[in-house]
Amino acid sequence: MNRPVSDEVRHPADVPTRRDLLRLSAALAAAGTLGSCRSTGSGKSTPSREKNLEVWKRGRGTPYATGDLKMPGVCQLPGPYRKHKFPDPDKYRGAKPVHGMCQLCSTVCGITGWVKDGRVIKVDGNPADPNSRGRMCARGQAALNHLYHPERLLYPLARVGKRGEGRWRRISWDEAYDMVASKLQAVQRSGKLEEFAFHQGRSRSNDIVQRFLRAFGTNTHLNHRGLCSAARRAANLTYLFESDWDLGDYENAKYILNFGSNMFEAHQGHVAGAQRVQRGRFENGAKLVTFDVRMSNTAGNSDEFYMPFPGTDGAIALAMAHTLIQEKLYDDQFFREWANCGIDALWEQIKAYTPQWAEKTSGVSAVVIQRIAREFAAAAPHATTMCNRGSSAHINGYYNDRAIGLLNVLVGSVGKQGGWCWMFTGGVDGKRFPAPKGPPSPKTPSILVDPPEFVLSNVWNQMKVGEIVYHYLAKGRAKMQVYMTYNLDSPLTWPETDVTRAVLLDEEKIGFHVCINPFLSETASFADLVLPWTTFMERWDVDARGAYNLKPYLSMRRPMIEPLGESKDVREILPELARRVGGGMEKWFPKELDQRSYMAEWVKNVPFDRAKYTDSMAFLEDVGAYEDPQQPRYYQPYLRPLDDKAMKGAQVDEKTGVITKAGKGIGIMYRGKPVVGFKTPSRKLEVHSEFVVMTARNQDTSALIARSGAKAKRRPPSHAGHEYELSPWPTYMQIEEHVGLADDQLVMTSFKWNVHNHGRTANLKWCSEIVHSNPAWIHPDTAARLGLKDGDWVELTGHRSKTIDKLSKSLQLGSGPIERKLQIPVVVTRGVHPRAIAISNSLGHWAYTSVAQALVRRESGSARRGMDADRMRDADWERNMWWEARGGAAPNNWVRNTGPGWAQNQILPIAPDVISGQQSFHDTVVNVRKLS
Amino acid sequence: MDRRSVLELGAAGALLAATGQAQGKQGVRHDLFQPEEHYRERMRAPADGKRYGWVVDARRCFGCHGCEVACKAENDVPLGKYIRQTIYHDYEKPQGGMARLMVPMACQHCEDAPCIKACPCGALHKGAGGSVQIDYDVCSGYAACKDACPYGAIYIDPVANQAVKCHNCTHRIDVGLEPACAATCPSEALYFGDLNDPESRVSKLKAKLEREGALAQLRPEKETKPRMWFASDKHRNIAQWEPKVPGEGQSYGPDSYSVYRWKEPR
Ligand code: SF4
Ligand code: SF4
Repeated sequence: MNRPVSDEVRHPADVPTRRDLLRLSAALAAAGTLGSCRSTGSGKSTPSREKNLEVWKRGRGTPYATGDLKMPGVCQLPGPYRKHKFPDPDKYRGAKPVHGMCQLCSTVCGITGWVKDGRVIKVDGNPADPNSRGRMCARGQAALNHLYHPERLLYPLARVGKRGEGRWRRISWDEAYDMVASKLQAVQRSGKLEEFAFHQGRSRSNDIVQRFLRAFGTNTHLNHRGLCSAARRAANLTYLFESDWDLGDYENAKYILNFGSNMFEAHQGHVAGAQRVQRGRFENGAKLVTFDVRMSNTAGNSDEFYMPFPGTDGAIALAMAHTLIQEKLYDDQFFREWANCGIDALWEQIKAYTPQWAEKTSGVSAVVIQRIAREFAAAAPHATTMCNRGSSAHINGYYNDRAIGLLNVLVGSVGKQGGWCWMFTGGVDGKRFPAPKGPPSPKTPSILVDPPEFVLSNVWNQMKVGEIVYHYLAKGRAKMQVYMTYNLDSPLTWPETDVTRAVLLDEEKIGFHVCINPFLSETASFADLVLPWTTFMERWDVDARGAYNLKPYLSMRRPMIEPLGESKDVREILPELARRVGGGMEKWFPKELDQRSYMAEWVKNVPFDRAKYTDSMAFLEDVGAYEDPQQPRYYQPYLRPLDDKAMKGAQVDEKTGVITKAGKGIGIMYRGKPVVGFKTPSRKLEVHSEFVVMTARNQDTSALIARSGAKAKRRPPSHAGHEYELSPWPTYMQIEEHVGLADDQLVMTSFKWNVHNHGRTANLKWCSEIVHSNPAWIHPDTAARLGLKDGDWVELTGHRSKTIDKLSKSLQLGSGPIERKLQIPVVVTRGVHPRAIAISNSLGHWAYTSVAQALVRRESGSARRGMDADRMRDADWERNMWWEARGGAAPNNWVRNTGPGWAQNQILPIAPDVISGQQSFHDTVVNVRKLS
Repeated sequence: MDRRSVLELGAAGALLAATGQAQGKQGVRHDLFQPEEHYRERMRAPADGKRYGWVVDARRCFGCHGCEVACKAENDVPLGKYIRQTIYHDYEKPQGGMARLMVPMACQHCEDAPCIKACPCGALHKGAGGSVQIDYDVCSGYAACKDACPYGAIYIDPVANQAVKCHNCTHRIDVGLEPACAATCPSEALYFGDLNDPESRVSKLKAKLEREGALAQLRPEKETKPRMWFASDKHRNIAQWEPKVPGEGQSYGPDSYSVYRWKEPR
C-alpha cells in the first residue's frame, strides 16, 4: 500500500494539538457558523471571522525567512502568515507574455514567460509553437527554479589554490576577459590553433560559437553527439543520405512499432513526439507496441510491451523482416521501385534470421514476432517504427537501427502519411533563414574532432566522437592549451568519471580551462575560470527541432527579463572576447552589431502580416514561432518531379535510371518520369550500402557521393590504417561479452527520468523532489538468485568491452574491469529484464548546487562569492526540503527515497562503437556482489 | 471501515479508527459533518451559470509529472505538500506482460463535498462554476476538511496553518487561460471546462466516453458526486489504482513518488 506521509507527522511543531482545536470547534459549532457564498479571494468578512481569528492565531506556524528578492516559486506568505488572495485573481493582470524556448532538454518547446514587475511569475507553453503546441513537461515547468535558483552563478569566479580544490575569488568581467584573451593570444603565438578547444554539451547557439571559432582559426569544436545519437543517425543516413533523423508521422499512424525508445519521458522530440503518439492512438486508433529492456513509462503505457535481452532489437527486427518476406507481406511494388536491391538478394541475407532464431537470441516469442510483423504490414502504409538510444546506444546499435529501418522499407511506409518520415532539415531551414554570414571554415585539422578509428562519424555530418576526448588526452594523442566548456556536464555524464576527472585536473593536458555555465557544475569545479551564463529566459536565439508537422518552422527566444547579476550570454561574451584577442578576429564582431540587430538580420525573411507588424522581428517577438502555412508536409519527397529546367542538360543512366547533371546526381526515372528520388548514390533507399563498405575500407567514394548529390565526404588520409569490413546489409551483430554471462553477471542498462535531463536538472527542486534517488532495478529472478530484496545494497564492478577492444586495438581501451566500484541499493521489480540491471543517469551529483546534492545546507565556501546568496534565498528549500539523507548515504543508514542518488558513469566504460562513434550506454557487463 | 485494512490506511487513518470515532458506511466521516444549516449556504454554488468539471483520460497519461510541477509553480506549493500528484501503478496484465498505469490525482470538486460539510469555520464553500474553494480570511487550519476528504486532496500549509487544495485555477480562467496543469499536459489527459456548455472540450469528451461506457468515478460509495470523471477501460480501470489514492485524514505525500511504491501492493 502506498501510504502517504500524514501532515501530523511532518510538522508537529506547527500544528495546534488536535485536542485544542476540538474544544474550540465544538464551541464554534455550537455558536453556529454561517458562511455565505464567496468567490475566490473576495476577502469579505464573515460573521464567524472574529471567533476564528482566535483559533487561527493559536494555530499559526512560524514564518518563512525571506531574502529581499521576492522569489516566485517560493512559498511567500504574508504576515501574520495567513494565506492572502489564494489564488490571486490579479496574478496575471498586467503581466506581459514574452515568448521563448525552453532549453532544459533538447526538445526546445515553445514557452511563454509571464513577466510582471521585471520578474517572471510563471512559464507556460506557447501554443503558437507548431512542434510542442503549448505543451511542456515537468522540467520545463520547473523553469522558475532554474532562473531564480538561490545558488545561481552570477559573477565571474577565478580559482585560487589548486585546480579542483574548490577555492574561488570573484573577479570583474574586465579581468576575466583579459585573462581568457591573453591565453588565447598565447595559442595564436604558438601557431597550434587547434589546441584551443571549445566543448559544448547541448549544442545550441551554434551560429555564434562557430563564428567565433572560425574567426580564431580552430576546428576543435567538440560536442556530445557520440554520447547521444550517432548510431541512429548513421543508420538513417545510410538509407537516406538526406537526413539523419526519422520523424515518424505518429499522429496519422495506425501502427507504431517502438524499439526501446522512451518517447513519453525523454527523447530529443519528447513533448512534440509524445503528444502525437497519443493522438495517433486515441484519436486515430493506432496501436503502440514496445520492446524495451526496462519498463519505461512508454513501455508501461503501450498496448503491448515485451522485454527482450539487451541489445537484441536488431534480431527481432530482422526476424520480422523474415516474416514479411517469407509470407509475402511486403509491399512488392514499393520495394521494386524504391529499394536499391532485389528482394531475392535481401532474402539471401535475411533467411537465416528466422523468428525461432530471434526467439533464442532475444527471448521474445517467435509467435509474437510473427504476429506483430503481420499486423505492421496490415497497417501499412500507416505504420512506422520508432527508436532511439534504446536500440542504438549499443555496440551493435548501427546494425540494430539498420534492421529496424528495413521494416519501413519492406512495408512501403517510407515518407508516407502515417509512416516513417523525415525532414530536409533537423532544425531551422538554413537556406531560407540563414544565420548572418560568418568567416570560412579554417583548415587546421583536429584529431579530437575526426578521430581516425571511426568510420561514419564525420562522412555525412560532423558527428565527432565526444566520449573519446578525455581518453585521447589521457593517452597523449591530443593536447589543449585552452579548453572552453559551455553547457557541458562531462564529469557526470561522460563514461569513466575517473578518466574525465584525472584529465580535467591535469594542467599538462589542459593548460587553461574556462567554463561558461549558469551554475557551479561538476565541470566548473575543475575550471580555472568560471563565467556566469544566462539562462534560456534571459537570452536571444533562433532555433527549431525536428519538425513533427513535417514542415520547417522556427522559434525565437528572447530575453524575458534583464539577466540576473552579471550573467551574460555567449552572444555577448564571445564578441567581446574576439575584440580583445584581436589579430583580425575582431572584424567579425563589430560593436554595432548588437544582439537584437543580429537576430533581426537572421529572421528578416520570415513572412509577416504587414497590416499588423512593421517587420519580421516584431512579428516573431509578438508570436514567438513561425510555420509556413503554404509549405506542404514533407511526404514522399522522392516523388517530387524534376521539371524541364532541371532536366536541361541532364543525363539518364539507361540501366539504373539515375539522372545526373555535370556528374552530379539530381534524380531518377520513376514510371517513365524524372523525379528527385532519394539523395543516395543509387537515388533509392540504400538497403544495400556500397558506400559504407567502401568508407570502412578507406576507399575512394567520390563517385558514389557525386551521384547522391549530397554533401558527404570520404574519410581523410589521417584515417589510413583503420580499415574494417562492414556489412552492406542490415544484419545482426552479436555482442561477444553478452554470451555466457556468469550467474552474478548482468548487463547494465541506462535510462533517463521524465523529470531530468542528463546532467542539468537535478538542481531544480520541483524535479528533484519527484526523483532524487535512483536505486538499481533488478528482476525478482535475479534477486532470488543473489539473495537480494528491496533496499538491499550491492557492489557493482563494470567491465570494459571485449568487442570494442578487439575491433580497435589502437584505441587502447582495454577489456578488463574498471577499478572504481559502485555501491547502490536495489529495487526488485518485474519491470526489468531478468538479465539486466537498470540504473538511471542524471543523478549522483557531487556539485551543481546543494539542491542537486540533496543537502539542506547551502553552499558556504568561497563559491558563494559568485552567487547572490544572501539576497536570493529559497526559504521553502531551507525549511521544507525533506529528502536529505540525514543518516548519510552509506548502506547501513540509508533511508529509502532520500539522498542525491548514484552516478552510474563511475563504472561505465568508454565504449564507442567504431562504426559511428556511438557510446554504447547499455552493454556494460557488471558483476553484482551483495553487500551484507 | 471501508475494505482497506487499518494497516493500509496509514497512521492518520489508524489513529481515527483506533480512537473509535464513528465512520459511516464505506468510511464516510459523517461524525465530522456540521449540522446542515451550517453549510447549506456554502454548498450552494453562485449563480454564474457554469458547472466546472474535469475529465481525466488515465489511458493517455504517461506520468510525466508536468501537471504537478505546473501546479507547484502556479501555486507556490511547498516541498513535501501537493495539490496534485500522479500516481504510478505497475501491474501484471491478465494476458501476461507488465504495464504501468499513471493517474493524475487532485481534488474531485465534489458536488456533495464532505469537506464543506465538515468545515466548522465556514471557510470551505462553492465558488465559480461550483469549484470547491477556501476562504482564507476564515480558514483556521482546523483540518476537519482534510479528515473528511475521501481522496486525500487537502493539505494543511505548515506556515499559514490553513487548508490548501485545488481551486480550479479560477484566477487563470478569469483571464482566459486554462488551469496550469491542463494547459501543459503533453498526453492530453486532462480536460477542464464548463459542463453546462455542450460545446466545451470537456463536455464533448465526457459525452463520448459516456456513450462508450468508459466513464468511471473514484470511490462512488462515498456519495460525494465528484465533478471529475476518469476514462477507463478493462485494461486500465479504477479498481486497480484506487488503493493507491490516499483517503480520509491523509494528504498526498512524497513517498508515492518513490520507485519502491510503484509496485502492486503486496
Ligand atoms: S521536453 Fe520539457 S525540458 Fe524539453 S524542451 Fe520541452 S518542456 Fe523543456
Ligand atoms: S501532465 Fe498529463 S501526462 Fe503528465 S502526469 Fe500530468 S496528466 Fe499525466
